[in-house]
Amino acid sequence: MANSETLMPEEKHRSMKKSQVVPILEKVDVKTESEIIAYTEKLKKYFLYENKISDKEIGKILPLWHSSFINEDEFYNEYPLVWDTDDKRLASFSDYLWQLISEYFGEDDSESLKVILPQIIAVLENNKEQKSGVANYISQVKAMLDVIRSTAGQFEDVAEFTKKCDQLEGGLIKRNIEIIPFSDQTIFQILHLQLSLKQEGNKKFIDKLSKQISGINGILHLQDKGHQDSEGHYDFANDLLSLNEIDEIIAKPSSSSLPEHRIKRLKECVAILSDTRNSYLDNSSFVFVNKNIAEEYGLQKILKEDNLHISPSNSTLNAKSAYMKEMDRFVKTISAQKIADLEMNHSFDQGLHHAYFERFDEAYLTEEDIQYFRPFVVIEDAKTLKDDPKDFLDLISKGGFIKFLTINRVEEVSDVSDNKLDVETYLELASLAIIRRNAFVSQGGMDTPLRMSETITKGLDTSYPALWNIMTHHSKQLDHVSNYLQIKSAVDSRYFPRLIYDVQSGIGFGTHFDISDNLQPEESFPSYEQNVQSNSVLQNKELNITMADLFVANPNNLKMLELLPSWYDSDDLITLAAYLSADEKSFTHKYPFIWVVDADYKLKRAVIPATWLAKFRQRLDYWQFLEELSGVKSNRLTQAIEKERSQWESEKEAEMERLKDTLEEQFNSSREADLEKAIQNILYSLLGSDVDISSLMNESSEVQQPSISENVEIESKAGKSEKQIDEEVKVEVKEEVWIESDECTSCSDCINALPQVFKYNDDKQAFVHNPKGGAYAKIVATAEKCPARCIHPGLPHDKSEPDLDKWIKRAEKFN
Amino acid sequence: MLGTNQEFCTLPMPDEHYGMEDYGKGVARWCPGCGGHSILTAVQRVCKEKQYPPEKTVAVSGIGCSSRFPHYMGTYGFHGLHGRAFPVACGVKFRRPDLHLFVVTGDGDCCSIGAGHWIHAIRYNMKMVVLLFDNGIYGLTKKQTSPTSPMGTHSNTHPRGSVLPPINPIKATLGFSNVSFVAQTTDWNFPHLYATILKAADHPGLSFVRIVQRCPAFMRDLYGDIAGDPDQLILLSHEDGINLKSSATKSFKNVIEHDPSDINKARELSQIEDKIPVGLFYSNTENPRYDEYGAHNMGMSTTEKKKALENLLDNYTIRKK
Repeated sequence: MANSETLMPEEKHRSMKKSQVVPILEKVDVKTESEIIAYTEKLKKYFLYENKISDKEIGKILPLWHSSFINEDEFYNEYPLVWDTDDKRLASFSDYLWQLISEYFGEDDSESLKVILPQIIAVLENNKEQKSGVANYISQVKAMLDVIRSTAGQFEDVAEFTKKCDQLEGGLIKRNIEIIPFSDQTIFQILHLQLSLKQEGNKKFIDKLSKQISGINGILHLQDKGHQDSEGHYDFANDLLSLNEIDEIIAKPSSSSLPEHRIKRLKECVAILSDTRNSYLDNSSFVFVNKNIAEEYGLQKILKEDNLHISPSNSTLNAKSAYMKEMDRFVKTISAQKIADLEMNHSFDQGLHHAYFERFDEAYLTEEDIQYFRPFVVIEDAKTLKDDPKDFLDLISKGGFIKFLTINRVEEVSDVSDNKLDVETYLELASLAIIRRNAFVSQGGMDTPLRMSETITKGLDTSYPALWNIMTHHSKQLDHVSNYLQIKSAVDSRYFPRLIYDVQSGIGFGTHFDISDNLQPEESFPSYEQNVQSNSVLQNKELNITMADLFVANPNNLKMLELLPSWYDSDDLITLAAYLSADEKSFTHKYPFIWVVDADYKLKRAVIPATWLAKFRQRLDYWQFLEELSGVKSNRLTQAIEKERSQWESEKEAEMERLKDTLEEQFNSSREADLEKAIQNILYSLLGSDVDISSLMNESSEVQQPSISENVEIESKAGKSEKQIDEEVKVEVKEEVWIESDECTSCSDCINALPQVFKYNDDKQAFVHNPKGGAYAKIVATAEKCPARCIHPGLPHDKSEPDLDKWIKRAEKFN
Repeated sequence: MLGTNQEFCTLPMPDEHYGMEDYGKGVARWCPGCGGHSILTAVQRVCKEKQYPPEKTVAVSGIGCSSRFPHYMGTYGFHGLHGRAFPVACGVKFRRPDLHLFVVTGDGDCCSIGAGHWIHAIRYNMKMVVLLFDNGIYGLTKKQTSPTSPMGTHSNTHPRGSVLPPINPIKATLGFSNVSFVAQTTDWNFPHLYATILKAADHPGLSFVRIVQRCPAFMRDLYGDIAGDPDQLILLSHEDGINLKSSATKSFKNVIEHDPSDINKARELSQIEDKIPVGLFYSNTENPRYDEYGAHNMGMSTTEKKKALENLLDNYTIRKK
């Protein structure tokens, strides 16, 4: 639906670009609280039921992110593309032209021309008629040169400059190049170019086939003519046989008459090889497409040289049967080739080789053989494949060398009129192919055509099936830049992320993934910096690119937004990126908004309806899933760790509190006890020994203080008992651990177990180095382990060790 | 003034002395408690006692746990093929009779795959010390029945127990022609082990020492209990036998007086199977030695060797007719 107001004619772009406007943040008028509350109520109704608050037409607004691209540099860096027929190279025209300019104008001058490069390229874009042909190209080159010549004033030596311009014009016209502008057909044009490159490989195969056919025909010719006609087969012999073999043939005249089964085999071989050669001469590839897509994108014209098969409905099914036939033919051809090689070397052995070629099938093909298999490309709508994926999955899982190019249309993606949730799952078609783990999968948009071209080459070269899932556009409603920006926002906002799954790279499932082509792949949403003018001061704001940028780029969706008045401010407002990144439940009464700019280039906030959020969440979930698979970041893991950590921290905190309390308690009680003691001592020294201290301590009367005489008694008792124990120990501790070194078998058991206690002497036999160097329990265990039974543990040196009785008992055997 | 010339130097110059560390190398990678450790130490001590120069000493082995021995000796060594310790050792000895040779072989290596070489090595009677590490099991390959495993040994090759009676290496060796020295010892009685190897090293000719060895990993039951019980050993004692200190002799409860020159008695004693007789079974220093025939051109100078080589090569000269 064309809305003249929301369209952005190119003149508008130009004017914006010239002024280089930065968005302005409006001044805020403060309103009363009641007004704000009333507005919040309205906002709630809008958010949930889409009851618009202001009846006014929303007018010309732009998503902020798009506005930052208004200078179009981004677009002109990528498009148009140029195909150099001589170099067989695809490049962006801007790079290509820049290279030429630097070549002709030298370093200094070319720098000053860099500024007008987008302007020069825009000439191509302005040429709406898009006529092909030499005349058109020359007129385009002339128009571009006019732009360059118009800057002559900047240069000192105008004559020299004009001369250089003429040279550049001549150079550009002389080049054998093809300009590919941005359009919905671009991807097919790239495909066509890549397929045409494959022809080179086919030529080699055809040469090989021709050589083998002539070789076998030579052998058959020899049979027909007989050996006498030596003139006839010398040529053949020079080509294909070694000197020894020629000698052999000459020596044995009988060799010229071949057995019948051999003639039959040779003739079969020639038939297969000639048939294949003819087929390869006719077509170098196969492309299957259904009628709708073919008509929609005018594929008959673009891919007419690539053996295009148009089927009325299910192109995959068609491709499948054709593929089976072609594979059958290819296997037969390879087997015939191998037979031909053997025959030409006179080394075909009926007994040895017959059985081998009888069961020769697809599994026998080598990497080298497969590179000559002609590309089989199926072009299909992603939606169609997702709805009926049976044949698609069948082909992918068989590991057939079949390539799928699937199209997603950005207009359909951003169309919210059909509000079914499951519609969006077709965007995950890539997962279907990845799940089989034997396909090359590439996903991306036509915003980066060179990347797509690269992955198409890779997909065509690989010996695995391939899927190129591509976001492009089909609408004729919008201009190129808007279409381009729409595709770019779909890709960069994680709605349709760039992805490569290459089974040949890396070693595990995770390492096959590559999502590094996306902007800031470790973030949920990429962010960018935007200069904003606020109260005539330039501010640098960091903003996120979100899926809303894609939706808002569709003029039909703009009407659904609610622009917030600049005075309204509330805690309930939250940016969309923050809203989506957090848990769904944590924002029940909040309203997500995005930044937009209006026609006067003033920054505004716009709230989006709740109905959009489900789709956004689904896409974000898929993106996080990809992040996890490719090992960039695991969202769930981060969440789990966060949860565990907070739980652990709260537990620790509680424990700390508890410890603190108990410590404080202990401290208090011990302080009281010490105080009592100190008072006692002071009183004792002051009042003498005969005072009953307990009578003075009325507060601590429960504590029984022993009298001084008692104290002395206790002391003497303690002294006595210690002495006794000393004596007893002295008697038994005579035997500390000792070792019969002569008996030692040097098994190193004791040295390893107790390196402090046992050491080797000069004869490598153990002795006790330090009897107190280890626990008694360990010494006993080592004595038990000693194969020579020459360790005697004696008695424990440290009485405080646990379970000593047990160990002493165990040691008895060895003492 | 005194110069540094040896002839004029009056200071006593000590000979080079080798310590235990000169004979050791690396860390022995046998299991903890393996008998191999003590045999290794015993051999190193014998080397030290005899002051064999490490560069004149060779350890040769076949394949098996025991045969890792040369890796742990700081001498020359040859870790050979399975069962082929004897041929290699005979080759070394035949050409270089000046080297001190220890041959290390296991029960599988010697009595099974290398049994043919065993017989002939005994008959050649070249001067070398043969140490048979007999633990009654294939340990390196994780428990298979060996020729000396007792009947009923449960192993990976005989999960229900082995069915054949084992070889008795002492009995067998005493039956070979030209046998000159046969002794038996155990790895857990270190003084006896050391004394036996020392005695073997002195013997002019092939000295065959069977060392009853424990395998703590795979044959814990075989000698595990016997090792702690001195009752299980019988000491063969004689003045010409193994020289043990009197203190070491005390630890043996069973002693038999046996003259090692009496081969018939030795054969009789070798049949004792309920206990382990340790000591010297048989010794005869008069037997002919094959290595004495290999040394006839040992003293040749480099020039003479070159000339001999030239003569040999001359046989292949192409001459103009």
